[in-house]
Amino acid sequence: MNARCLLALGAALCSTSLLASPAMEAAARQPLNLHAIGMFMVFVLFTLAITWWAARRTRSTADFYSAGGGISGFQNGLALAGDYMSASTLLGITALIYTSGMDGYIYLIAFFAGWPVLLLLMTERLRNLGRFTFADITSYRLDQGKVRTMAAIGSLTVVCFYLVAQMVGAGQLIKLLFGLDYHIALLIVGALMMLYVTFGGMVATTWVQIIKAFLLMVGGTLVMLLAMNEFNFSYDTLVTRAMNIHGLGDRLLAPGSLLADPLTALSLSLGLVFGTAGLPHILMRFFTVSDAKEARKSVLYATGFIGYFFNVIFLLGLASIVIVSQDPQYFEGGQTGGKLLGGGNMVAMHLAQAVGGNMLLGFLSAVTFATILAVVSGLALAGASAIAHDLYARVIKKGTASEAQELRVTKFATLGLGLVAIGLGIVFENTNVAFMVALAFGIAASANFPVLFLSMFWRGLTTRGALAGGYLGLLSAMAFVVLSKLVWVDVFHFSEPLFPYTQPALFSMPLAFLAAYVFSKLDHSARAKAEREAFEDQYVRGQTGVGASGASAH
Amino acid sequence: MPSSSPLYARIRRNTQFIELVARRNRLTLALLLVIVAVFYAYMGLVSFWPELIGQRLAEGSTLTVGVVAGVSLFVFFCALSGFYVYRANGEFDRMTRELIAQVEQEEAR
Repeated sequence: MNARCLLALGAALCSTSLLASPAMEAAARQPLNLHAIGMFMVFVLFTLAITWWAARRTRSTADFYSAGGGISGFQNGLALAGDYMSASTLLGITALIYTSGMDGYIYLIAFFAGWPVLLLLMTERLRNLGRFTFADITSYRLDQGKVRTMAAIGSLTVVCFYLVAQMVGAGQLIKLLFGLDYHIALLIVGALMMLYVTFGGMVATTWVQIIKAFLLMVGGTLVMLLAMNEFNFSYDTLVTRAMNIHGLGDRLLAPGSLLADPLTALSLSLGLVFGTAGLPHILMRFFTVSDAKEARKSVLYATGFIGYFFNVIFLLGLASIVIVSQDPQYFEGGQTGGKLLGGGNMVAMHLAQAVGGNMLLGFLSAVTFATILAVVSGLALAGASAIAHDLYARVIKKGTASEAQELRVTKFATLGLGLVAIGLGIVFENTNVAFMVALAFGIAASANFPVLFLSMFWRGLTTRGALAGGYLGLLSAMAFVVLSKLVWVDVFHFSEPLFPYTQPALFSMPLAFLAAYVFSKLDHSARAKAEREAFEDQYVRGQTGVGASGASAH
Repeated sequence: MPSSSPLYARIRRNTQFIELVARRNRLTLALLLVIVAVFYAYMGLVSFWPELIGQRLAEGSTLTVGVVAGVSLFVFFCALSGFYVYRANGEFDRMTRELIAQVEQEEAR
């Protein structure tokens, strides 16, 4: 396992890169997995039925972008958890614990810590101030045209990089799990994504997320229980046997090399915590509930689900050390200790097969496919809303577009994004797309988060400051990633990276804050004065929810 | 915008609003500091004192400091989130409702 890549990307995402690593590409296509395909067909038919049902209820833009604000806190909590836990969380982190032990658990902790921060800093004000997208808030009291354009560009950049990384990972994974051709896998994922989002909008996307989160937790728990059964449900037995078998021995539960460098660890954790608070598809979910109260509840539920599942993953990783690493049938040529069949990421799948047979393997494969679909649908919806709501309706039409026009644009935007995702997925089939996820999180933490945060918390932010901070964060995060090992060495094949750290947040995020601060302070224009004064009203609305958009009546 | 600026101005001057905001901000800041301190203390130990993370709680025990602290951190963060939501959805939302009713009454007069 490539430790540097893991460092760069952070938990769940990293495995996207693993999915696309050369080792995986070389892995042979698996024979057609009929159990998995059957169960996946059931999932697809069911979710398409939901999409059909949702399409009949999606008439207004509010329905399309925010499900009319009619999602309950509990439902949204599950959907948030679904958005956050990608296929790579399950597969990648289980694999990381299998190889490196404690390092995997530390990742899970870092990946979890963003949630209470999100609850305390963002949830309330975001729900009270926004309507459909986070750009609603960024541009609340600033220049609509310029600031919204900047926020939409930040959104779209994050969505595109994340989407392509997911698509490439998905293609590789589906090829392995289902024995389908890479291109066919991309077409299926892209087509289903377009169907869900174009016809069902946020309602269908939310239900796809909810079902997937539920299935993922049930599947993971089932494998965990069956695996723990082999140890008589004793953590003591599990750890003793894992330490006896694993090459690390007693050091299995001590930190390894992954986070040895404090600066890299700091940059990574900053990127994970604040990148989460800048991901457009996560932020968008706060507008699907009726008010701040439900929004807070939904984050609490999501925190609980994610915390629970991350600890299940820890047990899965430890159990697979004992169960999978000893079984020759999971290794190429039957050599234990050699190369795992299908590559390192398949540990969780082999564990499922070992404890629950082909049925459980098929079920978990289907859940993984469903997970990919749900994540890309959420991304496509966030991208479509940035194009149709922010750029088309607000910037180009300046609020004069009719709902029907705006809705039509969202549908074309979704189709466009789907085609782009499939196209780029094919182009990047054999590229290590690790850098795209680093970029997505880096840009979310450096371009989206600082300006959004300052617009809600700092009276002094002006249009000039927001533009300077937003664009500098975007460009510096991109530049740092391009000059780092991830692109400079791994993609362009230079021998030495020009920027020593693979995670940009520690550097690009303060740059964005600094630029936003300095340019706002230096802005003495009359408009800047009015913008600062407008903060007072925004503050009251953010704190009390007076004037906030409510659930639309049906 | 659905609400007029004078309403916001009236809320801003309301003593209960000032009280609400002060209380909630105090709680938010305190919890945030606790979360950041606990999280970075853990990450700091991982970077600077890895032996402690891997140490067994007692001779022959399979429970290690890092795992026990990690599980506690998950539980603690969930509990803190729960505590905030409990206060915000109960006490603070009640204060907000009262405050809005008060201001609307003033406005009607």
